[in-house]
Amino acid sequence: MPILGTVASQFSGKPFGSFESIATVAADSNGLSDINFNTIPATYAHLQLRMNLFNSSGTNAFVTFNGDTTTNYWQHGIESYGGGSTSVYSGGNQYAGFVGNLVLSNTYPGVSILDIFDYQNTSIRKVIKGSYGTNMNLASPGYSRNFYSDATWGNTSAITSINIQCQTGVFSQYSTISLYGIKG
Amino acid sequence: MPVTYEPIARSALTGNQTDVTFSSISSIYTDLVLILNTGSSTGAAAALMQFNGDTGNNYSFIQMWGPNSSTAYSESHATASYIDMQAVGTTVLHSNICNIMSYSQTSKYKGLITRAYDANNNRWYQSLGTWRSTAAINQIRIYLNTGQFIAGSTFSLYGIKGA
Repeated sequence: MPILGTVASQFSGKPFGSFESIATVAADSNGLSDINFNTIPATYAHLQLRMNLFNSSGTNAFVTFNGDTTTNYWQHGIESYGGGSTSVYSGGNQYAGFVGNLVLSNTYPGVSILDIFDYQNTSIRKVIKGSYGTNMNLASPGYSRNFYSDATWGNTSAITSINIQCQTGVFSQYSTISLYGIKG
Repeated sequence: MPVTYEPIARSALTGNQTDVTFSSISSIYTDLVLILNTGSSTGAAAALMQFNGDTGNNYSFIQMWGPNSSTAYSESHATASYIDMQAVGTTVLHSNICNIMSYSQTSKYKGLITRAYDANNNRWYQSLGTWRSTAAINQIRIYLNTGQFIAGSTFSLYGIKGA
């Protein structure tokens, strides 16, 4: 045990009980052009999607719900390219999906955490909060990206499936996407 | 469905302390989540993080932050010797959450996202970082760029395991 530290095992085996793993998909050496989570259980209040992605083309990942590939998604947020300023962006009604501009590399992981709120509520459009990007060890503005966004899927249907599509090429080996459910 | 988001370890300081280290971190999880609520003995400071005792220039991060005005800013730090999680002030009012993705993977670099809130200056921060190592993370050291963490500061580490 380090003098000023904490051995990282003191609480292991005591899960909270309201955060459950639904499914995980990991790409093998063949890669994956898209990833689907189908038949999502309706037993949770919220969903969380956690992604660690690689791609040799430097591309984007797009998330869509229930097979809806129309321009039915809105995304607004703030992005940092690593320079001295940030920019506000708005993807209103122009993306068939969101998590655009996540620059992926085969060396540097593109990381993303999306919280999908009230995914079963059939009275409201769905809201998604996301933090995501890729850091490629660049000191000056470049292809590294840091995003924080709020997004809406303009549909009141309960979300029963999620598709994550690689815009160009495939999510390469060691890419991992996990879907979790959070009980209310 | 399997329950996850397990508490791995927690440290609550009873006196001022230079750093906190979580060691012997199990590799059984998919991701790690580190939550800090901290204050600094010297006022405004930044919480820094290193993995596996690596003090070399193997870290990089992009920060963006929003002060209490209409403009947000960003900085890019390459070839750094730590990940900067920012936002530690004079009292234990400053929170950070750091998600370390695929931390036990041994074929790729490690990516992470941190978010912080600075209650003294009403600022939020988000950093996106990379540790350029393929080693599994089994140790995390958290320290300040100046001063010490004050009594009452808490550090909690959780593991999330995908099915």
